[in-house]
This record gives sequence, structure tokens and C-alpha cells, in this order.
Amino acid sequence: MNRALPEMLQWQQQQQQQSYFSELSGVFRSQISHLCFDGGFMSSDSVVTREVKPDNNGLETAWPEPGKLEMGSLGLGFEFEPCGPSYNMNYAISGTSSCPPPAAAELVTGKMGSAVGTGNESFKKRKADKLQNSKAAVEDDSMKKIKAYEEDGESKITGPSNSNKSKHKKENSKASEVQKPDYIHVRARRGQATDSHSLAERVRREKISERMKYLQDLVPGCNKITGKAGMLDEIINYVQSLQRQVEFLSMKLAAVNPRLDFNIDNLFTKVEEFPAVQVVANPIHYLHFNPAQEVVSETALRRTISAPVTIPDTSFLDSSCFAQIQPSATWDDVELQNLYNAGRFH
Amino acid sequence: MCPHTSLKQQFLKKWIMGLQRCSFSKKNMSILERKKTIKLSADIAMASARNGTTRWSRALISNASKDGSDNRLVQQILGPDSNTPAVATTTNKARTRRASVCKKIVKRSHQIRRRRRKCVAAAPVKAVTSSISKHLVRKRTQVLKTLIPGGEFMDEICLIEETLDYITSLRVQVDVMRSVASACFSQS
Repeated sequence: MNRALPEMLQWQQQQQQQSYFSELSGVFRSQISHLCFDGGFMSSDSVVTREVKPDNNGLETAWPEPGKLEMGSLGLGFEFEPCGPSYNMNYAISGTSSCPPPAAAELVTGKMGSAVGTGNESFKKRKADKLQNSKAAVEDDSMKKIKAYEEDGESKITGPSNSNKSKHKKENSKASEVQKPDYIHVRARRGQATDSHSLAERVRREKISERMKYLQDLVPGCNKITGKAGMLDEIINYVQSLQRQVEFLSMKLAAVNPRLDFNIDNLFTKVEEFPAVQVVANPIHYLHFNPAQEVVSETALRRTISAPVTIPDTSFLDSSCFAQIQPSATWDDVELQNLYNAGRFH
Repeated sequence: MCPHTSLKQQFLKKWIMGLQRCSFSKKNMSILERKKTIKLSADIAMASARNGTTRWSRALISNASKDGSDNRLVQQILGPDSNTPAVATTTNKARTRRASVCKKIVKRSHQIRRRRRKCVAAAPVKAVTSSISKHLVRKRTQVLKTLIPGGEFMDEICLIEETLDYITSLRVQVDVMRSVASACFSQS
């Protein structure tokens, strides 16, 4: 009967995608609200949209502009910091069996309890034996739970017309099962092999692709790249550039301080007032602050890196005039401007 | 504001503390030595800010404490909280031996597979392109493994997670160092 109408199947798949989707969005929402991240909803939606997108072709359309994306991605990246367990929770929800699931399951149930409009059955993320489930799943495709989905953005994710090409894990949600050990529920897709090896392969591949999507947010410029190899290339370049920046900065600091004595009090008062200097969309732009109002970008500095002590020839004001430095011309970071303004009244 | 701020402050404090401890030991270091100590203390501060939760941080600290010359520095920087490195070094050594053996086996299997593939005549285009892309991906994961500290021992999924964490902490490091450098410059 599940093969009766292709439309019915399509609809069912849409429901599933949206259910999977709303799960993720529920979790993200909780985390983001927990962190009071303003303006993160747009990015969270877009992130979640990305995750559930079946084909990578639609990536460009759904995403906001790169600047915004970067903000969102930063927010998302920031999530990982203070909430260690929540970081794990993200992955647990995607089905990693190594992370502690109960906390995540509870969180999800809490969210789902609020989200599900019908309230017929409480949706709980179930983990059951892969092999068993795959055999059972092929037979009863009709046992899908209908979930209320929250966002309009999800409607963008229309199920692919070809049911064979669905790329989502179908989660089994039976209200009767209460607690199960760390198993991952995987259902065989229609027309795919059902033996445990290929299922495990598919699970692994999906995990990897999900992580890669997180990485896409972190690494700037990865939005347009869709293949794994290309993204890996970008990631490698980015990590190498960051490491080179660290080297360069440490060399610079070594050049400045002949005795490795950082004036602690001074530093702490100045640096701790820094609101976090967010890495703007292009982290390669290292604007060297220069009261003579010459903006020396890092590319220029890199060329002179062979002579490590390349302090540009400027007339630095002394420390008392620290506060008088005009920020507007050079820094492109609004928050640093505020810092300098605050420093005036120090 | 930004949830990274606490991490940045933590990193900064540890870094400055480590540098203070280092500067007491040696006077009149050359510029390269200074750079090395700065970078080393920054890396270790970053890694210890993770409190051993991530693999790359543990690997970084254990690698740093392996070399005899840097060991003293590391001990100084870490101070009284140097508990994990000793354990990590032994496990890493065992792992390197096992990893080298595994690598040989994997290499041999790859060679056999290549020979078999050559025997297959006129493979369809799809198979060729997919094998090329797989080859590319494999090469690049190898490179990534060399970049991330302790990456050679991780499988793909772990590697990507560690990369995520490593990238965020590198960013924090760069930000803090940059602001310190600018503060120093404006001071002097």
C-alpha cells in the first residue's frame, strides 16, 4: 500500500524531512536562545536548511550573503565554545553513538513536546538496532509520524521528486519504546541495499557530510564549493594561513619586546576591554594600525616578511596619546572604534 | 557580546603567565628564540585552555613535551598542572608504532588494488572520475592529517571534528595575538 501512490510517498518524505528538520531546528533554537545570540535565527535557519538539503545545487539560493553568513557562522561556531556538552549534543542528535544521548534525547523530547501541535504521541528520538530496523523498515514504510513543522524555510526543502534519491536518515519514532542503548536508527532507502555494511557506510558518509557542512560555515569562502575534495582544499588552505598568521604575529611580538616583558597591567586593561575582535569575512586582511593613516595590509607585510623586523616607519604617539588615535580611518571593526573611544576617558 | 571572550581572556592569561615564567629563566635571548618561546607558549596556552577535552590539544602538549629542549619550557609554562603529558607521550609512542605497521599494510593493499584496477579493461567514465575524486579526497585528508596536531591517528569523522575545534582556537589565538601586538605597538 505504500507503493500505491507516488504522491503519497512524496508527501511522506516531505513530512519526514520536515520532521528531521524541525528536530534540528528545535535543537538549534534552544542552543541559540540559550546563548542569546541576536540575529542568529536567520543563520540558524539557513544552516539547518543547508543540512537537510538533498542536493548541493540549491546551496547558493538558500544562503544569505557572505557577510551575514559569516556572522551567522561565527555565531554558530561560537556555540561550540562555552557549551561543551551542547556541542556534543548537536552531534548526538545527528546520531553519533559515542556521545551521551540521554541528555540530548531529553532536550529533543522537551522541544518536540512543545513543537508537536497534534500532541498525539510524544516524539522521542529512538535508537534501535540497525539491522533489525532495516529489515523491518523496508516492509512498513507507512509507519511515519506526522510532525508539525515550525518554519517556513523548511518549505524550501521540497522532497526530491524521485523517491529513490532521498538522502535522509529516516528516524523511527515509536512512543512505546522507552529507553534503548546507543544504537542508531537507520532505515534503508527505497531501492537501496539493505545489508548492514552498506547501511553503516551510508551512516558514516552522512556523518561526514554533516561535519563538512559545519566546516563550510567556519571556513570563509567555502559556500560556493560543493565537493568534498574542494572543501578539503579550502580547509587546508585556511588552516595553513591561520598557522602562518600565528607565526608571523609571534615573530612580530618577538621583535617588539627585546626582553619578553609584556607590561601586564597595561595589557590587561587595554586588551580585556576589547570586545572580541571578530574575524571578518576575509581574515587575511590584517590591517596594521597606523596613525599616519597608511593602511598596510597583510599581503604587503608578507612580502616584507623576509626581513622580520619590519615595523613601518611611522610616528607612533606615546602611551598617553593612546586614546587620541583616530580609529575611523583604518579599522573596519566598529567595536574596536568603541574601544578607542572608551579609552579616551580612561 | 561574543561568546568567545571568556576563551580569549583565558588564553591571554595563560599565555602571559607562561611567558613570564619563561623570561625568568633566560636573559638575552635572540629574536628567533624569543619568537619560538612566544609561539610555544601561545600554542600551549591554547591547548591547555581545552583542558584535555580535545585530541589535538593533548597531542600538541605531548608533542611539545617530547623534545628535550622544549620539555623544560613546557614544564615551566604548564607549571603545577602538568599531569597529562607524561601519559600522553607513552600512548602516542605505542600508537606511532602501530600506525606505522598499519600504514604499511594499507600501502600494500592499495598497490594490490591498483594492480587489479589496471587489469580491468576500459572502465566506464563514471568509475574513473569517481576514483579520481576519491584519490583526491584521500590525498587531501592526508595533508590535513599532517596539519592538525595528532591528526595521523584519527579517522575521518574525528578528524573533521578536531579540525573544527582547531580552527576556532586558532582564530582566537590569532585575534588575541593581533590585539596584543597592536597594543604593544601603540604603547612603545
